[in-house]
Amino acid sequence: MDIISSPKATTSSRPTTGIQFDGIFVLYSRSPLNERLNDLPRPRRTWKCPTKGQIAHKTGLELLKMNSSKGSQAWKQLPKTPHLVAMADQSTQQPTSASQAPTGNQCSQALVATSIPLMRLPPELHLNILENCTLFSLLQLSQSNRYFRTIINGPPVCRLWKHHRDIHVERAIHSPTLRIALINRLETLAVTFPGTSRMAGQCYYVFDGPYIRFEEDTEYPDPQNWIAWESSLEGTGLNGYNLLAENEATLELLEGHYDQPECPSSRRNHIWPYTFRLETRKDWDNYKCIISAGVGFTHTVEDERELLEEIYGRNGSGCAWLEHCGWRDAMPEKEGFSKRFIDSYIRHRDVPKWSSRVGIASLPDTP
Amino acid sequence: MATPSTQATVKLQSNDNVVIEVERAIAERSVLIKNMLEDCGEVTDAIPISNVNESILRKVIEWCEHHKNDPVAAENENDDSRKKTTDIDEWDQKFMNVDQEMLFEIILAANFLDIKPLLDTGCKTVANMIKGKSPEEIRKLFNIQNDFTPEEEEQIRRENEWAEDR
Repeated sequence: MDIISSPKATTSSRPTTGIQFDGIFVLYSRSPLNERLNDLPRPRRTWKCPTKGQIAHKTGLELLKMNSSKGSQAWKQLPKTPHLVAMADQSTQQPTSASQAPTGNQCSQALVATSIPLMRLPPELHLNILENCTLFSLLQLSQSNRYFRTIINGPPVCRLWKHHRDIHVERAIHSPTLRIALINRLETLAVTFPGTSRMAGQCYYVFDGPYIRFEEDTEYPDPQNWIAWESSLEGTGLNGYNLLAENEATLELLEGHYDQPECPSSRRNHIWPYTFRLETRKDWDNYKCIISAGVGFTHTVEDERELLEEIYGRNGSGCAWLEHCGWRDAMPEKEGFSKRFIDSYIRHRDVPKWSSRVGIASLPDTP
Repeated sequence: MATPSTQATVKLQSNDNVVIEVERAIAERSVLIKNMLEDCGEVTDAIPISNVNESILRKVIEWCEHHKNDPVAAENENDDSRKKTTDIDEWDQKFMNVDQEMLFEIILAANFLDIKPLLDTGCKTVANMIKGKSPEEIRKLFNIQNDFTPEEEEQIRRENEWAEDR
């Protein structure tokens, strides 16, 4: 059974200056490790999940979208997500005493005793608000309360199904996503390198504030086309193009050379590494960045094995990637991966190691 | 069958029974009212706006007056294709510089009256209020109860530690 993994943060110490790499955010997997994670005490859940058939592939926001009415009909209809409404109702904190009521200047900042608090708005309006939130705001809001966590992230089973679909149905190949967070900004953005059937290399990056640097073997080198600011929160509906447009961002090539991607083979003409600077009107100091990388494998198993070993090292933590992608089951030993190679992640899982090649400037390259 | 009306003004009646006369063009910023007028033709009686009180109705009318010359978005405009930005026009920012109660009332009224640009402005305002705040600050600002169990909080903390400034 697929289960949802907890994100794993690296345990590396932090650099004093420059790029700071904080963690690896891995989404889902099937693995003994995650089964163990699943054995951890489960939190109390109030989400009453519909049947799998009803909610398959739907995140909370998608469910809300599905259920919410639109346009001029909106006011005529009651929300069709009574469980969410109930959650919202329960989530409105009532002042328990007069002493808790804000007074004077407090009112201007935190008008807590309003007759229509945020939580009392109908879910479709919450949806509208969330659609206008930045990714980081969504992340923060999702941590504030079970209701918002549910509608932003979707119930776990939804996420699971969505991911399952992504991996096994929609994509021609298995190309899960690794997420790596670089934490020296305050806002959350993500760059996704979608896996495609033509992808033979890995996508990596250095993120130094508004710079993204791509090392050799990066595939699909047309950033305007494939860089997507993707929500790190599944199903928010925010995508790269929204955010690029919103930020009026452009990418300026600062170093190296890359060919246009019309002809994938032209990538041999790239001059590595190449670096882009993200230009935007926004104040980048207010941004925290997540970069996601996906690796697709379309060649022979042997190619893939070599590639993986090249990337992650024969005994390296690249197995973590295999593990999290569910490839442990999909790639039996006889097809190229040694059991030791695959199992090594179990031993190394707490200290993910990234080869210098992957890490480029190496992310956790701490002094 | 109703015939198209050419009346210059319409009367709107708030839920506290105050009648406000406004230019038809302004009132028709509300798709709800616009459809109603198109369906009913000339309306001499005040149109009851049952979910909106006088003060909010006046605020909404004020917004509609200011935006009466704005282009009306196409009805079939795909919501997802709308440009998502939290930038708000300066006048709208001042307009929305009200307490939370009124802000939410305006949002509800805009939703009820189906004034999408006003609804968007209100929602963007709320989104901007959320921006840059920690979960605890968000709870405090909006009076949201922290209903996570300690175990959940720990799990959430672990899930999101990649995004923390440390």
